Amino acid sequence: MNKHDLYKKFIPIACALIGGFFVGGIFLAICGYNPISSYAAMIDGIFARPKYIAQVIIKSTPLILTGLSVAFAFKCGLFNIGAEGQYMIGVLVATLVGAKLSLPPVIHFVVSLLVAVVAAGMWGAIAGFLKVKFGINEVVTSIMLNWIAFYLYRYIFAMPWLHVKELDASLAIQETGRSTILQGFKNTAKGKAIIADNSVFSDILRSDPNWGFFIAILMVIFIYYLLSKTTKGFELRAMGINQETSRFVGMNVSRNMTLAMFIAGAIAGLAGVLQVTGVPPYRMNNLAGFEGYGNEGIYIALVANCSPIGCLFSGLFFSAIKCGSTTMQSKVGTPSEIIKIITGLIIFFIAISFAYKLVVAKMKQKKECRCKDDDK
Amino acid sequence: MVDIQKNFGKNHVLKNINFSVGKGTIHALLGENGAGKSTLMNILYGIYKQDFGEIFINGELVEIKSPKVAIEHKIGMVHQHFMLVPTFTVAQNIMLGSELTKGLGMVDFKKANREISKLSEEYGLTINTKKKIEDMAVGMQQRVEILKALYRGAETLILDEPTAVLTPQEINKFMENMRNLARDGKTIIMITHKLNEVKQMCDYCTVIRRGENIITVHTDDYNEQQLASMMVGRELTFGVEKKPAAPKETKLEVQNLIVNDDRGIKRVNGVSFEIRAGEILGVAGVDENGQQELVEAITCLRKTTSGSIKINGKEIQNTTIANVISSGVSTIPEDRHKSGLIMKFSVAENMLLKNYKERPFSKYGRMNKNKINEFASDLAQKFDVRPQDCAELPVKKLSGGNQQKVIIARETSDNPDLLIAVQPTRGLDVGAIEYVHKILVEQRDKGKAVLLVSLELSEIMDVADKIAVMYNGKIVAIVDAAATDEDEIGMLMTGGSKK
Repeated sequence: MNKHDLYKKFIPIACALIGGFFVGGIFLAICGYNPISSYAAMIDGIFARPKYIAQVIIKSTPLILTGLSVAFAFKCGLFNIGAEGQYMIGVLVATLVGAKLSLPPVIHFVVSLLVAVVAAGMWGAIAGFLKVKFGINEVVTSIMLNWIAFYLYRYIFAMPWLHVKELDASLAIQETGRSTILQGFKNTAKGKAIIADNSVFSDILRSDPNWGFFIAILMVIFIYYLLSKTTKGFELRAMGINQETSRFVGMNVSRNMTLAMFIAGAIAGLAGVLQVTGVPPYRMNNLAGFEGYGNEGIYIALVANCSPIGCLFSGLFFSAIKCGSTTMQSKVGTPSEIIKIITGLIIFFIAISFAYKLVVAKMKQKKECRCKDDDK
Repeated sequence: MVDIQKNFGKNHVLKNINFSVGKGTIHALLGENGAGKSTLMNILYGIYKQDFGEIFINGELVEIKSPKVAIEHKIGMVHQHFMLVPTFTVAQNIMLGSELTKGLGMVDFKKANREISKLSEEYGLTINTKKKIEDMAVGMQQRVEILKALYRGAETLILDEPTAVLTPQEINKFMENMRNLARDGKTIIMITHKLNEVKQMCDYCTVIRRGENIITVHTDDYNEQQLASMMVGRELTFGVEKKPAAPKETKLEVQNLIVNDDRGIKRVNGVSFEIRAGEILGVAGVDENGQQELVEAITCLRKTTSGSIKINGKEIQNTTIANVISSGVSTIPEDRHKSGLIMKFSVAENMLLKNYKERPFSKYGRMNKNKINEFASDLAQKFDVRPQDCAELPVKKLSGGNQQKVIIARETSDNPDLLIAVQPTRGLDVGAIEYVHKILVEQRDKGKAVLLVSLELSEIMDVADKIAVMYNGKIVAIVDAAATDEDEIGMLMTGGSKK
């Protein structure tokens, strides 16, 4: 893909982003809030302090990964609407292994990560298997599996051997199972000394950083490599564009379909694992409804045009505006819900961008006709 | 149509066409694929608007903005792919869009049936107006399309490749109907590349080549060879030059094969035949007589109910597609867009759809782009794929003929024992057709067994050594191509018996 094609893909998305903020600004003005100062406060809330930047990065991890999960599935020709459920399975299994088992540091984390990711992958593979065996549309099964995961989560959450009544949360994942960075360090004498000296460092440490973001980047690179450079990626992409031909040339489409759903599920599950092992209080909470990261992955992938690297930027972008919006609310009083409106508008505009391409083509045609008539 | 120009982007499809047709004549529009004949007629029918040029009907300048306007000017068009609703009856299809109502928007079916029956009798196109399209033969469906145009008052009829889907007998009936219509004063324009029909049926013929009209002639003054040369711009060899077959050992053996379709209905009903190395077996037959299911069974795209399929003596039915391929079977599919190519992939990726896992194209799962592109460039040169440096181009940018070459390159370069070709020249121009036939004979001379399934009888007659005729899921005859003729095969295709 040359530079020209890359720009062609960027422009509709850039326009949708700008359009979303522009129309959002109109809404704000109608409701009596100043859009310029609101957006300025939002940008402030993203970049003004290292603490803010750290927050944006930390909060982007689950978004990048659920987006990646949906984007990857789409490249394989599948709609992974089950990211929400796969995420929950990731949280559930990581908590079980992290809280109930005792293993040496690092190993504990790695083991809980692997077990949880495989579990979430299997959850995704169920939908894949049902599609292969019975032709059942994966959107339907994924949504049903989301609900099954939801109630399974709540069922196990309520188990006496996991539930902590006073907090209405689960047991905490032990320190050895967490993915935090320098957690213990900030409480030591040496740590406290460095913090007192260095404000940037203290800012970052106080935001409870974890390894999640770096693992997410690794995942993005891995998926990119898998899809574009490997033979398996070749098969998956072929299946995503044209199942019929893939079958015709002898590819094992059934196996690849289940595999694709497994990988997509695993990525979404990873999002859950990194959240529960990296963000305090490192416990399962009383889930009243869907946490939403899985569902958000859908529009993250859309804005990223389903490219793995695009998901990295898309996840960071939406994390940024979310974080910025809370600062905006506290500084200028503009309700942070405007972000939800803007997100909706962006999705709407991207959908319209397909119509935009048609309009441009039609206008080009008309222009050519007019020139010919002028020559007559 | 005067000085017509039409461009699609940078593609100058029509450069300077001048086309006139006399009333009450049958006029052929002859040209290769991509010459611009369909585009020209689409402009006449209002589907496209010309970039430059004027259209006159009966001496009056007209502007045809849409098919609706074209119909108002009494122009009707019958497309190659019929635009009929299968579950509707004949009357419902003909009425669609111009329904007769009897007040309050209620459709007057009785009146419609009566009027359409009257119309069909008037033009000698007998039809049962209450029958559903899906229950009718293709020849009858075409009549419905023609009646649709006549119902709306068409005085000028444009037909796009009308005989592509008809049996020899249906073609004769069709020609008769057209002559009758012309006698009644209707003007008929036929887009075609079938030279024998141009000679038999048409009064005049305009040859278009690469968007420019070359010549308009009285068909009686020229023979088929001359028309073909005008169309292609060079001398064309007719028929396929081939040495007599020298078949050796049996490569494919099918015995008592029974295959059901998705609804459990028997589509292949006890078929047995064999193909030997160095031999081309052509399977002739009207569409939907079991040929599709037969090929699907051989390639394991479909399960068989009973019977056996052996390649080199090994049974391969009901195994996997990968197994069939590794047993030495390659297939050129019927629909290159649907099952032969991955349109968004590059030409190189498409050429390697079967052997991307082998060295040196990939190692331990990692693909080697350079080696892949190199290999593809080689093949593109060998098979004369244009443009030559297309390895990294998405295959959808190639013309139909070149796309087919990509598939052929892929399917022949892994040295199969059996090459299956289903409708391999569908939608291709004469030059590309010539090339494909050459390749098929070449493979046969290299010692391959070739199974050619085609709806184009002339293709089978030209290329095949032996012809198997399929009718109603059975092979009603296997004859030597040299010992039979189109009439006999035509009879067998519709259930008749050998002479």
